Parts: sequence; structure tokens; C-alpha cells
Amino acid sequence: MNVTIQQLSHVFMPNTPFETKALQEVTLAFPEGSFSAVIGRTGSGKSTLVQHMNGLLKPSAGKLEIGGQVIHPKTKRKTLNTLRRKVGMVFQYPEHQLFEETVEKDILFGPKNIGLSMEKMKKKLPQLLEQVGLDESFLPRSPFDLSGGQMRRTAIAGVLAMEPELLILDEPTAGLDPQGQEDMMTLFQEWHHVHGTTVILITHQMEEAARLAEHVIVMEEGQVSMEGRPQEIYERESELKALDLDIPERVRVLKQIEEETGCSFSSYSLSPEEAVKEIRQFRTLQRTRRKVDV
Amino acid sequence: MFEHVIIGQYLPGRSFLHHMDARAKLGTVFVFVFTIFMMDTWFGYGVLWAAALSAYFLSGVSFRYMRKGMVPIFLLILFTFFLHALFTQEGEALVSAGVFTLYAGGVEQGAFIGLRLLLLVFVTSLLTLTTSPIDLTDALEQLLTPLKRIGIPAHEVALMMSIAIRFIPTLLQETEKIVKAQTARGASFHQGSFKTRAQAFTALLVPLFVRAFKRAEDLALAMEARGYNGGEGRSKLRQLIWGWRDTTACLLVVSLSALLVFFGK
Repeated sequence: MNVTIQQLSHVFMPNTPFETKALQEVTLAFPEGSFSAVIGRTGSGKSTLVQHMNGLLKPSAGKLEIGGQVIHPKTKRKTLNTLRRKVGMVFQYPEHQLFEETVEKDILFGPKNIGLSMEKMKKKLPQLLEQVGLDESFLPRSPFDLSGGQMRRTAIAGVLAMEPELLILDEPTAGLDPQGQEDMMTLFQEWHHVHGTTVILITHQMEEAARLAEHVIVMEEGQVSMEGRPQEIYERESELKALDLDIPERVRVLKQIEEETGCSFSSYSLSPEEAVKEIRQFRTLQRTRRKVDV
Repeated sequence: MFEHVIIGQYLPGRSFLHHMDARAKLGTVFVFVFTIFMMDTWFGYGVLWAAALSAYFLSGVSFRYMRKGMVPIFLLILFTFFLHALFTQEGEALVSAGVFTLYAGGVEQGAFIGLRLLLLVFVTSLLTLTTSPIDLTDALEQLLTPLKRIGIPAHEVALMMSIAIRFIPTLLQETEKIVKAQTARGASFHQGSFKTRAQAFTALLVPLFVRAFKRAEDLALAMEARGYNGGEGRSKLRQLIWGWRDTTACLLVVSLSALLVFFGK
């Protein structure tokens, strides 16, 4: 689903002493089928930005177009409902939204609300559970008896079950252990590959953005301060530092190797194994060159 | 979503009212409210309104902000007005429609009660708008301390109040967050049949309660971990300081209400 944002501004509590400009004339585009990451420190406007995309917030000025539907400051609330059928959103700490008696009922809450066929959904449930790292035995259990990680998976399954065309993830790995974070990231990556869903990931972990996204947007004080492919962003290390953002450890290592050896990597999101492979290739290339020179 | 609720909200500032001691403010508001209930003449209400409005001008709170806060209470006041206007049968009959007859006495009574309610909310809003919740509970604790002798746990009452006040914004935020999350899952809070809305509210209330209990447990644990064991022998970080403003305000309000109660009838 194509998302274009034009001159979007949002003001919280206008005309009170608490007035804050959360977004200022943001212009962005998220092409269909892309995986983008929005990063920035707390309070930079990332969450406010994405909440416009499924109609939870309306712009104070400017407009956005999501899969052909235009939202501007005067859009009626009712028309936003159709948007929610297509846009799935995983909030921070999504396990806080669980409320049903069983895992099954909770997962089916969203699909039921947007009018998906319950019978088809029930058939799909085992597969869906497996994708998020749970299994069928969880269906009759109470979501409140699960561990934190399992609750998070259940909540995420509840959003994925709505089969969104645009999936927005607001710091989905916050508060998970390293293995849990890893699992989550693999899950979203696979979901993106298999379903071709457009994904927007909000995070302040550069590592995650580096691994998954093909497009990175850096926000600061309600404005877009940088935008581009991850590699391009990492080139601007000093600017990132000024925004309290750090380049990922693996990028730092790869950069150091590049500087010291003169080898250049195809991308900074390489896994250690891939990096070793490229270094080997570079070496053999160097050797053959030397031979030619001699 | 809850941006318009100003009850219990504190607006930081540097006005005369902000600089007053919370004990003085609490005391004067108490006396003032007491006087409001004693009054039953238009003259008395005129004087009280004049006093309340001059206090408002000393507070530096913007008119728009105050008006916005009054709007939700207005419905209640309107409702009370009509209740009194329709069911009090005194004075001349003004209009008659079916079973209802509107009497002049009823309209007067309705206007009276309406003004009284508005005045009550106005004065107490001024108190909470210009006094931080912490100062307010500190003041309450001190004012309640003499009652310890008859078994009223002053410290615990004050602590309970300050925790409750402290968590109002947190719970509102939490509510807003869960409303958003469930709306994103297709729940509809603002439209649809009664049944779908009721369902949406279950989806809000269950997580809200679960979180609130969890929070309470965490808070209790954190307090115990920091060695909290009741009010015995606790000292205060912030001292309340009584100044010339407080003496002046107390004298003014007390003499005003004494005059009104004895001579205003």
C-alpha cells in the first residue's frame, strides 16, 4: 500500500498552556511493498506520525494519502474506519491490550470487528500461531496466564490476523530479552517477504533498522532530519551522534575493517558470515591484481 | 481525548493565589463553600460571586481555559435548573404546557441552585488550578493532624489522596493508549449499536484494571524497598510557609462570611 504524506503538521492541545507542536510540515513517501524504519529519540514525533496512518490522529494541517484514501484536517471520523481494515498497528507493549478469556477469542477480536469470515480465520489460526512462535495448545488458555513474551506474541498475532496491507510496528521488541527480540525481527521479516506487506517499523535501536529496513527516516523535534538507505544514513555518523543515535556495532566494525584494509562491503547490514565471505573475495581479488601487476 | 478535563489539574504560575500557602487556600475555600451553603439571598450570592471573581483575577488563569473547564459542568447545571424549574410550585404561574406548569418561584429556585453549583465548581477549580497536588495533600495532612487523637489516620489519608491524584493522569494516558490500540483492532467506541460499544468498553476496562492492579503492586513494592513504613517520624522535604498573603486572605474571607451569615439574610 502506497503512503504519501504532504506537509503534515500536528499540534497537541492547541490554545492551552500545554500546546505542543508534535509534527511540523513532514513530507514523506512509503512505496508499496517497502520495509521502512523510522528512528529518533523519545519525543521526536515518531509515534505521532504513524498514528496518522490508521486514522487515530487527524492532521492539524497538511494531508496524507494511504492506498488512495486521502486524509486531511476535515476528514470525517466515520470514513477512517475503512482505513483500519487495511492498516494494522502493533503498539508499544501490545500485551497491554489483551482482554479476552482465551487466546483464541483475543486473536479473533480484530478480524471479527472488521468483518472477516470467522470460519476461515479459525482454520488459519494454527498456522498463524506457529508463525509467531506459539502453537495450537495455547488457543484455549487465558492470555493472563502466559509469560510476558507469550503475551506479546499473542497480541501481535491478533494484529496479523487482520491481514493488513500496511503493517505499522511501534517498538515491537521493547522490553524483550535478546532471543525474543531476535525472534520478533525474524517474524516480521518473514511476514514481509511472504505477504508482501508494506511495513513501517519505529525503533530507537539502529541495529534493528539496519537489519530489516531498506529505507530509514530519522526524526528530530517533529521534523524529518535525515532520510535514505541505511548505508547513506550511517555515513553521517557525527550528525547521528548529535541526535543521541548511535550507529550499530556491526556497522562500526565493518567500517573499521573498510578503513584499515581498503576493502569495500556491498552493504553494512551483512551478517558476520557474509562479511567474512566478502573479505575473502576481496583478498583473492587483491592477490590476482598483484600478480597481474607483477 | 481527555484534554478538556480541568478538574484536579494544576496550572503552574506565579500569581498571588499561586504564592499562597496551601493550608490557607484549603481553609478559605472550606469557609467559602460553607458560606455558599448558608446563603439564600440574591444579595448574598452577588457578594460571593464578586469575591470569587476577584480571586479569579488574582489567579492569572486565562478566561478561555476556565471556560473550557466549565463546559462539562454546564450540562449538570442545566439539568438541575430544569429539574427545579419544573417541579417547584411556588409563585405565579408563567407558562403551562400539558402536565407541566412553570412557576416564577421555580425559575428563581432553579437559577439559584444553578448559580450555587457553578460557584462551587468555580471556587474549587481555582483551588486545584493554583495549588499543586503535593502541596494540597501536605496541607490536608497538617490540617487533619489534630484529628489523629480521635483515630483519624491523617498521614495515611493524605498519602492515599496524593497517590490517587498522582495516578489520575497516568490512568487517563493508559485509557487513551488502550482506546487507540483497540480502535486500531476495529473496536468502535463512538459509533455503532449499544452492543458493539459495550463490547468495545469491555476491551478497554479489562486491560485498564489489570494494569491498575499491576501498577499498585509495583508501587507498594517500590515503596517498601525504599524503607517506607508509615507516617511515624517522617520529616518533610517541602515545608509549607505561612506569609502575609495567607493572613490577609484568611482575615478577608472569614470576616466576609461572618458578615454575610449574620447580616446578609
